[in-house]
Amino acid sequence: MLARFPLALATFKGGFRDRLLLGLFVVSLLLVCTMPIFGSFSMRDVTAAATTFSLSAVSVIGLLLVLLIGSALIPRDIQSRSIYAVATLPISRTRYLLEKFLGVALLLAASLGILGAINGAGIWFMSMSYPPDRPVAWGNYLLYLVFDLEKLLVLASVLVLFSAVATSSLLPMILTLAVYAVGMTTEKVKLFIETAVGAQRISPTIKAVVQFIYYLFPNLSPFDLKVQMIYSLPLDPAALLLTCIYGLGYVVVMLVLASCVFSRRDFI
Amino acid sequence: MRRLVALFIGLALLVPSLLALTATRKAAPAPERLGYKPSFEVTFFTSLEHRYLLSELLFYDAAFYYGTIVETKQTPDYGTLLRYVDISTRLNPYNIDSYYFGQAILTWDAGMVREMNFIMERGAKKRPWDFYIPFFIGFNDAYFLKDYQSAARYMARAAQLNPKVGYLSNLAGRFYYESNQTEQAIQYLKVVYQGTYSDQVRAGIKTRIEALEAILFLEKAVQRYEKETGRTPQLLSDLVAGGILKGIPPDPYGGTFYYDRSDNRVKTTSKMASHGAAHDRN
Repeated sequence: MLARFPLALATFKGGFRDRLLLGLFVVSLLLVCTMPIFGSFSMRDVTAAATTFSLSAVSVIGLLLVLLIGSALIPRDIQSRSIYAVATLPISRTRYLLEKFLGVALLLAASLGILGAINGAGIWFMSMSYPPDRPVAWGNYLLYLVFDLEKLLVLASVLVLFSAVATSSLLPMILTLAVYAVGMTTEKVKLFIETAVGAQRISPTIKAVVQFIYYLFPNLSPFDLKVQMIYSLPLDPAALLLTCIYGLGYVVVMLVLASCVFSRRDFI
Repeated sequence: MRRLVALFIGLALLVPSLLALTATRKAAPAPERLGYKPSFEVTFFTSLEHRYLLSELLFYDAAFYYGTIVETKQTPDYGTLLRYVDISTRLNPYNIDSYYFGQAILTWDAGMVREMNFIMERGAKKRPWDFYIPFFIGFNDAYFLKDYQSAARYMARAAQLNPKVGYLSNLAGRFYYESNQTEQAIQYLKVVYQGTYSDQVRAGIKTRIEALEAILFLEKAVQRYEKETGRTPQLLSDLVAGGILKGIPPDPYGGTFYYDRSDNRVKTTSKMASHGAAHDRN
């Protein structure tokens, strides 16, 4: 199957070559080892405290993976001039871009799979040692991982767009980090300005800017299912479906824009 | 050789400075460690997707600060602690640790009963499966605020959520009749004792239970003395002289029990805590 996408396969294998997954395995083990330490300071719900810590850590590691893997991909090809070799192949620039994205997506999925499995074992161990108030909802955990992956894919698509324009790997990384920060905050700010207090305090101009930012940048808050996982809260299937479609739509738009820019780019 | 010299210089700089730095940090006064006065808006908007972790970390800060300052016999900054509990539970209204900490420390030691009840309403709404929060609010209403009607309502809710704990429904019933406060306190503290993993908090609660059980024991002896002699004792030693008791039990807080004829209650010179113990008996 993957043989039909040689560049995606090469990107995926590149991750193995860089010992990325091995590093991730070690980090995951460290994370699991620190879970009981963090949880032990809790007064009442040790498993919830340890899960809070580990889910936040998984999200941080996921973000670092996107930034570290994604930002180097295209600029590295350009800097090492291997892009010229690719240009001679009978594939379009769009396909090159899409395969690169596919390779990153596979790497992220594999990484999150490893991280999720080891972390899941840690949560299971904690819940056996300190039974939480409510049993751990493993379905919620799986959905948390799936939606965290989708969030990372949205960010990866933004990164591909920036990489298609930039000449160095640093700029796309910083810009994507900024998009992540805005994406995680924009919904909170929008909801705040729509409250009675916000309506009094905030000027109409700022409100318009906030609305503009909300619709332009990706809203990453709906992808965050930590609280539902930690406290085994019920999930809203309709909201999940909408989030899934929204994420998919955002990825498609970003990749189309990246393709437009990249096709017109002059490498000489 | 050069590398070795460089390594030696590096270690010579690193090791003593690390030891000195550790000592300096340790010597910093405890309030300095709780120096961060968070604004909810700032913490909320900058926490990105880590508001739940931040909520837990704020609780840890407050708990460590409290643990440190209690050891030094200083009075904790209860205002800041309340702020931490408030912001922690606004960032994550499900965070039971913060409610638990606030209830264990701020209501008993600082008398911040109304403030904690207000904060715990937040938790009662978000954690409809948890019997502890209505139990805490109900207890506070009865024991501190003397609002038995509200107490009964919350305690009945707690009993409904946890039918296994038999005396919750007993408490709910008792509150309607404004029953004996010492027994209420003992039963309440036993529930809290069973529910926490923190050894430090458990030890504190155990001492309080022992003191209250001693008071209950003495109050019952006073009642027996009154029944048998037809008069109230002048001093607790009258109970020993009258053959009701073999001796007066010691106060686990290090004080001495005495009988207050003005309100017919047994009290202790230790007031059962270093701060705000007035709530225990007055």
